[in-house]
Amino acid sequence: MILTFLSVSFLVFSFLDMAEGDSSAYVLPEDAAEEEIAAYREAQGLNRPFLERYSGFMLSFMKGEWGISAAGHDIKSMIAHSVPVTISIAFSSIFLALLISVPLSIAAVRRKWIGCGVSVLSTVLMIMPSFLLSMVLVLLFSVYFRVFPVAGYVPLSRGFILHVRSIFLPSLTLALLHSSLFMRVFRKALAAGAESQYSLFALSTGMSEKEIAVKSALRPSLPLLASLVSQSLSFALGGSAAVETVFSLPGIGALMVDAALSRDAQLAGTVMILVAVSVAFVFFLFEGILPMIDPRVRRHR
Amino acid sequence: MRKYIILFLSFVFLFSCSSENDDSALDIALAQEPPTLDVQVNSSISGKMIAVGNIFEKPVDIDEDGEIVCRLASSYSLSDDGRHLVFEARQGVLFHDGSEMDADDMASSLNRWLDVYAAADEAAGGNRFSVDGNTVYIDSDDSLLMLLMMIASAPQSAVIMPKEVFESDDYLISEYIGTGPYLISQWYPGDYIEIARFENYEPYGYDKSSGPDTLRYFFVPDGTTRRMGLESGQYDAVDCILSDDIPALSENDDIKLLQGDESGTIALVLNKRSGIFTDVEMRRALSLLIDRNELMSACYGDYGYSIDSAYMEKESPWYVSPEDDPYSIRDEQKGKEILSSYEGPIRILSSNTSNLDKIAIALSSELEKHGIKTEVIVLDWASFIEKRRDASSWDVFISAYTKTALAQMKSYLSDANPGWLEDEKALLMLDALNKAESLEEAYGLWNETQRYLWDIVPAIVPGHYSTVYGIRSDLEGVILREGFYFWSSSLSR
Repeated sequence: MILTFLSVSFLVFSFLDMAEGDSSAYVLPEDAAEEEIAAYREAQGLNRPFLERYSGFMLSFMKGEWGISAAGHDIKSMIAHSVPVTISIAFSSIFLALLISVPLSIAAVRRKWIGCGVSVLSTVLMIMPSFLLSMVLVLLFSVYFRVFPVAGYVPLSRGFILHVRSIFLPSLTLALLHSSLFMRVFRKALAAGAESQYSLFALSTGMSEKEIAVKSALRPSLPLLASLVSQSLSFALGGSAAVETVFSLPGIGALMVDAALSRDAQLAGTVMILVAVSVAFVFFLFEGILPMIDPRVRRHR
Repeated sequence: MRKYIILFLSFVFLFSCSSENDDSALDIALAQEPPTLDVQVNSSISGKMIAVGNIFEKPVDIDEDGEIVCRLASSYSLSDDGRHLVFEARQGVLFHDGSEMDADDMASSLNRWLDVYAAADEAAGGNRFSVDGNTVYIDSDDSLLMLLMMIASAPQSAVIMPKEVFESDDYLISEYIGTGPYLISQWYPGDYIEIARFENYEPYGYDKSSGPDTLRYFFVPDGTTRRMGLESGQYDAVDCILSDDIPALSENDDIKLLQGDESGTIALVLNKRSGIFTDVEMRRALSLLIDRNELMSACYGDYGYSIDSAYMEKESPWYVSPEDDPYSIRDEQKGKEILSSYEGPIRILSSNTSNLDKIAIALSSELEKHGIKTEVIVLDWASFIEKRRDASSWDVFISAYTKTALAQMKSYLSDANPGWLEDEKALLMLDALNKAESLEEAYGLWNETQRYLWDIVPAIVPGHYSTVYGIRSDLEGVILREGFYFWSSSLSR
């Protein structure tokens, strides 16, 4: 675990170090004179050797002193502002994705024509770039119907409804992308379950098709769904740079993009470690939940 | 299935009922987020739009006619030989922290500005401001007229803050305490900055007390999102309207489009230290060969630019009409003849910010059309700035230059900046400009300098651009000057 954090932060740090240019290009004006640049580099400690900067960063990170970004903002408060955005979108997008994909997958197993529709839908969603999808949704819901705002984030503290309104379209965009994967995999598992021997047996005992779909086919497919959810969730916690840019959301993805463009190794390193921690946490949680929903895992242990 | 659809629609309805805006605040969407509001160091237009005039103010400013007017200085005087400059600090002006501004604050702020701004330091001849009672003064061996002009209008703004702000060791300031009508109430990097009325603001000379109580500047990098936000009423004002959106938006009665004076120039800066363009004939040939309209429309589409090879903007008193530019009239044949003697590819460097890479590609395809080999290098901003410093890796770079109040502030007219104008005569002429004792003298000197520069082609200016702003049509009193300002605007909602 600690090795992961070390290597993640080291990689980010050294990539940004290898990239051309440094944060002076971002903070100082385009025509800054050599002496201005030199003074800035000196003050920011950019002249110090790489290993010294990296170890200094890791030490202060461990101590909980995350310092200030290249532009002079407190990194802790920047992250504190963007984490809720990403968490809120990650969870609501997974929730919406389940809301879309589970009923559709069950319906697809029971009715062939729905199955065809679902296949087409999930293929279309899968090949659609996320920024295009979000543009279409914005045009439809924001400009045409004027139901949701085009961009921007409203924190939960300013009211639940305003908050949900501001994250609905970005969440829906991500949800549609997640659900295309969910539907593909989950539907196959359901279909396999429905054709399996125990389902046939259930049919022979006089259970209705609906009951079979829910009871005997759904249950064995749940662990698979859970692992898909945990993967998508850990992916979403890293933030989606494309969606966050289109909707101007101040999330983790946007923060990472800014940090990379401004060559801010301190900020990028801190964010990456936190993302790695959260991904590890989601997997840990999933390992804990799995035996609860899958008796087979319990028995193997 | 039907149940789901009903559920979804009711959900949509539920959220569509809530209110969009509170009335006292004006929501503004800007394309760019300023990395810092330390406007003495950072010269971004977005930082200026938020901070200069709203939060911070300068001792003197420049009005629409190019005249110097007093702001935080109640008066200023420049001796006849231009070597002694005095500002008198205005009495009774309060900082946002409640303390009163005095001459000490003014001198410390101006001296810190000189420390971080090499061009101003040069104009001051390395000298610094001193305090004498209620006045600050500076002496130099050369004329300080240009320093005065820079304090009034330089891209790195000479704003006044309490002297305590500069006591920290950090390069950038971390407390934003000014004297303006607004103070920062909330700032979420990457999201928005909210500024609110400063209760103790006392209007002097120039009233800024009628504007909205709160201004929120949102950072919306995507042009389409900004446009849609303006159309849906989420934003009251947006900057950098895309050229493609202009026809549709100008037909919308709820929206007013504002186009200010020319906001800056596009320049193809030629590498005069290494490679093909060290040869003046090659530089002239390139200037003759290119189709300027093609280059400008590649970036701006159908609107928002003019073809003009003058270095300064048309509305400026420095403007020299381009009729006398011998190499701005296209002569493809001659240009091609000379340039095609060059074997290696011409390396065109640009960054992907503000569509400048489109100009690079247009330039490349034009040269290729004439059988001249090219290589296009497009980088992100930080890499572009770094690459530019290496004379051996490029032949021409493309950049946009915001309008400057003084001709010698154009950064490609220097031997220290990439492009490296090392021509002795040109440098002497520019230096004389710095020492001019009156503006009339300076304008005259620039007229000669501009003609000489057209002849030796250190850079090619294909044209000028103007930013188009979009505001709600019921928003009145917006001030348009290197950005848009709202301190005396009002909404008739």
